[in-house]
Amino acid sequence: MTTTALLLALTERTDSTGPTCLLELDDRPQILGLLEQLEGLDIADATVLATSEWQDDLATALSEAGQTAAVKGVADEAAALEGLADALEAATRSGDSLLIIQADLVTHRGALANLVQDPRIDSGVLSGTADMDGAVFSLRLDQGRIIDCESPYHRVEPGQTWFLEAVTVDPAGAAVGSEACRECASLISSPPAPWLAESARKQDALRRDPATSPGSTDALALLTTGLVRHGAELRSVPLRDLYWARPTDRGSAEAAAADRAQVDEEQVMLDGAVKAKDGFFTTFFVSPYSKHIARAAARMGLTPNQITVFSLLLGAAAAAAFAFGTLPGRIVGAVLLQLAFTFDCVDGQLARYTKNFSAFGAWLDSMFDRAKEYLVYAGLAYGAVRTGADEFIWLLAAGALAAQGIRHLLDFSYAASRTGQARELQQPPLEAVDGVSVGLPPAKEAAAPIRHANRLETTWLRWPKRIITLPIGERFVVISVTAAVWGAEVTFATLLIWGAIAALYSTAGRIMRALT
Amino acid sequence: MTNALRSYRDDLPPIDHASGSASLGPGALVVGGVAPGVAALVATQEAGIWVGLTLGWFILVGSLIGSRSPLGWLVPPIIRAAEYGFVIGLTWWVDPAAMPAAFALLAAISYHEYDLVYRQRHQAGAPPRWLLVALGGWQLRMALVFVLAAADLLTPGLWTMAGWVGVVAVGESVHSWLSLKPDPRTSMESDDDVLD
Repeated sequence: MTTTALLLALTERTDSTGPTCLLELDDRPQILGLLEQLEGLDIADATVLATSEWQDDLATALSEAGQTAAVKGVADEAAALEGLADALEAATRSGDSLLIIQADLVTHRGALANLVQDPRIDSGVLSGTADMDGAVFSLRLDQGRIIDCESPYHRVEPGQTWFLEAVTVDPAGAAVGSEACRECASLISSPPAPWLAESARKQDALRRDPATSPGSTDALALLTTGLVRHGAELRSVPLRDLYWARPTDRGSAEAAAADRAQVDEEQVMLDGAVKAKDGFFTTFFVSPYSKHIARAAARMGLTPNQITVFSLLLGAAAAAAFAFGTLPGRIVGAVLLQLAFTFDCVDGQLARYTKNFSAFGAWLDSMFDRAKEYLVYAGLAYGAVRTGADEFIWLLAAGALAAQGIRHLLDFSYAASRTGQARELQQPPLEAVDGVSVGLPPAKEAAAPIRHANRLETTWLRWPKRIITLPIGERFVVISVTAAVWGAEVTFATLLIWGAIAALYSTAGRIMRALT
Repeated sequence: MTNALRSYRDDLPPIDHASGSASLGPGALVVGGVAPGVAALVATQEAGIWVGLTLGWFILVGSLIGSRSPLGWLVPPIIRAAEYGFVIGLTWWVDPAAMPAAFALLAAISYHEYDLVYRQRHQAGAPPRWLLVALGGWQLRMALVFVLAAADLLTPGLWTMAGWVGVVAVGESVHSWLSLKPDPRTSMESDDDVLD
């Protein structure tokens, strides 16, 4: 599926000398840099929707730079919304995805790549948690899905993350979007009284704090609100630590160029390939180096599934080494098992880094993890018997296997019962100012602008809570260390005792949550 | 009861239609399904008969019990724990030399049960019903293990069961992926919310 782009040049500079997207950035108008980033993402077909009075200037600037993007003029906000609706309808007809983005947006190519090249994202919105220059509208999420979006006329309270003025929709989403835009256009030509009140409230806040400048009018935020209110499924695509800004004058444009250059884009993209929520050992002792292996694998053109299979082979080799039962055999097995685990992390990181995802790959990864682990159990028990243990070791091995299987099912059964409870939110009509978030408690993992303060507060308790559940990284370390130093009996006993504690701990917590 | 929870039980079709007909909680499964038999076992020392009766009673209660109560998500793991515990305990008690075979059977069943979870997640669907029939569900597998123990055939019997479950489960899951048309709605992230 191809993606086309629609750039919005509707925002005026603070000194009223023209559109923000023609501000000089790295010695050329910002919009040219953005178009070049889009070309790097194979989005060659771009259209610019501009306020009529700037149409000629923009067309000249683009043609001077050899850009073929068409510039369409619109007289006012209602016309801009109609123009958006036309573009969305065209996308639905041609079966393309459409990226809609503010033409003055200064960010990295990688941020846009995350939005348009990730096969898991059909329709999505760029979002960010840091305090950013020019982000004025907030979003509310539910498990990564956007359930509420702020606009000049719509309120989100309390917000959770920032709306970063870039939206991608698939053909089905575009159909919903065009309908929403037409509705917004007709509403805006004679705005309902609550809209005017909300808009006045925001203008007032703006006067008191002019730093949050753009956003007195914003067709893109309105479109997104319309999509959400019409039930479209929009995913939040986080900016992470990449740069983002919407400069409004020469000074802020120069600052944006300098600040963007400060960010090591490739490093951030590589860091972004690491699973966001993972165990302690994996996070601090494996991912920091395994991501470099993932990058090397990407350069060698390896696929995630090849890495998954390689990891299984290493796990099988570890099991074979453990099966000797001797001290050297157990030490070799321990090392091979750690190698297998490293590559188990690499496959997922490679998939995220290269955006090469498949449902089969995810299944294979999960299934091979268990296969590795149980092969190792069998190898350990076999080796112990070879070196003098009796059948009791097989009882321990079977017990460890059973404990792992039961714990796993406890996790997934509980998760399944929770998913069943997720209620469909009744979205209010577009006329209503308040969305579903108004009155909701603040988000649990609040991504408010004060991100760093939040992080400090939640970090210290998070790790012990995770370690106690014996995640795979910790488990494999326990197996390697106990097997190499003491032998299989201690390995299985540790797994059984720790597994039982983990099961009791998480089940007790879940029972209390389920009953209250 | 969600479809996922129903599938995780791994019932033998068509018994799976019965689940939920008794609106009892997981506590009833533990107390009502196991305790009377264990008490009788301790009181009378007539092991073989009481294990058989307890098993039959547990299969009946476990098949009927649903997951509607707030703690209904505990039912599939309890059933699983009963199955694994039964295979391990009975083998250890009757013929400890058959433990490697019991391990192999549990590994094969585990493969199938992980597959139930991950297929649901990544392929947006449960495995075909013929597979569930072929693998016997937890009901038939537990009954079969009891019969093998009673007939003193644990070692050959458990190895045969392990081979059958392993070959059928692995073969069917590989075949299902080879013949799958990509569906964009399925999850492409490996266990993201579970740290495992």
